[in-house]
Amino acid sequence: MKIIDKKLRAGIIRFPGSNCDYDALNFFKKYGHESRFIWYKETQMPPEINILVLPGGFAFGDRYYEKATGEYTINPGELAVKSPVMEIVFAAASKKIPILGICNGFQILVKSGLLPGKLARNDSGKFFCDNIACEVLGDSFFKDKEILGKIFNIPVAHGYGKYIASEPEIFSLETRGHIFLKYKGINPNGSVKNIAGISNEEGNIFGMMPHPERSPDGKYFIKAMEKYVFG
Amino acid sequence: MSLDNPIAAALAEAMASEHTSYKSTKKFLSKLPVKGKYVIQGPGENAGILDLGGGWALAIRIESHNHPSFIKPYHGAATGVGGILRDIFTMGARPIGLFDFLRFGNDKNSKSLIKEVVRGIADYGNCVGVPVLGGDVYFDDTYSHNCLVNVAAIGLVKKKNIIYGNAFTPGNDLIYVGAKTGRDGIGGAQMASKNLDSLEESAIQIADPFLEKLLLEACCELSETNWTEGMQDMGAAGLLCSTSEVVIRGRKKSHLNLGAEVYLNKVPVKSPDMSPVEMLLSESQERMLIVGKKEHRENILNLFKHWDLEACVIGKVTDDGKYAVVYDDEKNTNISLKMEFKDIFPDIFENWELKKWEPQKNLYNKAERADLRKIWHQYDWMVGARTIKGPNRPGHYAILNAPEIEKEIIIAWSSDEGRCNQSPSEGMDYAFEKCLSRFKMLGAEPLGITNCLNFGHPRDSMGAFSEAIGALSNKCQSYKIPIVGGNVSLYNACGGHSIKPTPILVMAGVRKK
Repeated sequence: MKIIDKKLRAGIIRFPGSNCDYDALNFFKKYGHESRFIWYKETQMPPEINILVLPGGFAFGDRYYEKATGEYTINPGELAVKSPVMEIVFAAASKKIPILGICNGFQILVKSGLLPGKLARNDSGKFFCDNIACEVLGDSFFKDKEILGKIFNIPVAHGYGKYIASEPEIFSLETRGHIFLKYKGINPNGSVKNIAGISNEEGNIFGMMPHPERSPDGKYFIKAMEKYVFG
Repeated sequence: MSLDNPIAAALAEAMASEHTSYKSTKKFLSKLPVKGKYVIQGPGENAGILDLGGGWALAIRIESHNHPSFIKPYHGAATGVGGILRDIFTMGARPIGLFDFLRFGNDKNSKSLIKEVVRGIADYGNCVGVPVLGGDVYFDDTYSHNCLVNVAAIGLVKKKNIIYGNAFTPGNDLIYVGAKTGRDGIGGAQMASKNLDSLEESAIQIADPFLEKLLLEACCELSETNWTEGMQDMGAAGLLCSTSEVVIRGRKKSHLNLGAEVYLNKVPVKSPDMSPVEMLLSESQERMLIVGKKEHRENILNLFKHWDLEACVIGKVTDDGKYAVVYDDEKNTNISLKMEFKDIFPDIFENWELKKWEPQKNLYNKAERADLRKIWHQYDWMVGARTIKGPNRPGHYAILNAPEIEKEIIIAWSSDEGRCNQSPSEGMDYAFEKCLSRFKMLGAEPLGITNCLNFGHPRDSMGAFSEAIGALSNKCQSYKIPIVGGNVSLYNACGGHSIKPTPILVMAGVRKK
């Protein structure tokens, strides 16, 4: 654990089924930072927050209901996008506050249109969980050039992680350096170009399927966020 | 009220099933050592509880869902996971690990069953967010018409927050929370106590992991308050069993003449025309009973509301020593039925001849590493960020990080690996020694054991059962490792064929970092 003067104050958006909520909360605390939950019904951004995190899990059980009492279809992130807390997320996005979406959080960011493309069912048709080698590239994670080219072992755990987008979109992401993470060796879901994580045009919103909060290399990701927030 | 009343008679019949009464096995189970310096709670509650030190405790339990998984593999296995998780968080503990023990035949049907069972476990555990940390898989023709699906779970709880399934104070609320009561799963307890020849699909419940997740979070929050007196999962014979069990436990602990009044007309139902007996015996999943302190009724209901859960007061604790059911009859007039506890809970025994086990000739095969990998890849075995050794590395044990106590939690498991077929006692000895050897290898201290005893029809398997229990009892005594709970699954039989005796032991302990 290192002592730092400037603390990240992470707001962890908590949906009822966000089961990586505590993992994300503890991830920041473990490295001496502060973190707190923001419940999905809240609409006011707590003023101290300097980074927002949408954690992994099954926000609403991956379900989408047309009406409250009806049948549901499986559609990860779709219901979350309609929840009140998205006001906070959109406000943060326009104020250029950094946002990190992990796994289900990435799915929600994509569904909300804050990140391009889609996350589809894994090619295997099954949930997949294991440690997967991932390479940092493009403009890097929160633009931290120090970790560029590094390969980390990061756990993945998802059923809908296959990143797809139109050819021009992929071309644009690639050439502008917005693909910051790719699977190396094993592609666990059939993602186009082994894409594991992407960022937005402005470079303040990052979405990734692998779980940095579970990785033994988590400190590199924390450090990148520190540098981004405090320069 | 006597058993002449049709409701009382139906209830008595349900409570007399093997699954709820342990009528054939309790005289054997009573031999097992259940006390020790680390035991906070032994058998008889929703889960066993072991003292981890530093103000923290570990809840542990194992359960079988063999018959439901054979008939409706996806939901049968998923509801097995749901049930075992509720057993853990009912005690106020946050579940931190799941384990699955699978036994299947070699035929085509068995191959498709295991796929669906694994998918059921994966979908449920992954959604709720509890990692599957390990288990084992074996194949043998003996399981072709009766597969075994056992699931175990562990949870962490601060000692001061442990909630027991009891009621002490007349006037306190019985609060119902979770799914509505439906016809699904009626007769589940009896089903677990019959052969597989005569079973119906309608008796299998449907799983809802998202609802379970909401219940889990709400109950964990509730355990941090002083608003409750008790909590009980609605499992076998749901409403009847849970409302009466909390009072019976309270009666035993307090020696007060406690009773309960249950208002069936307040129970949320899926279909309006359910009969009182159907409502009392329904095994609809994801339902809990809270014994709430009356003065905190609003607090409790608001907490559930925060989690979007439907909760309502459906009864109260009384001091008249009766179990009373209030319901609407066909004339829509409330009728109150008062029963003596001994009427619905007769202390019954069933004695079987202890025949020597006749060994079967089928081969017992371990699953290949590659097949196992296909299974655990479908389980999120890292959520919770505690997994130090999960299913990704070989060995029937798991290591979890527990920074709360600055220790690691060690779970080791073993079955007899087919040895009980030749000698039930040697098979049991093998399973015990195997668990213990893991602890020795890791330099860890075992604190307690939970076990699942899967046997065939009592008419040919009780001898093996008795022998196996005797062996387990001796081992536990000589190593001073107590049994803190478990499950007995008899009647694993089809068409006159009983499965080979299949005990599964799960040993829990700690290691200093």
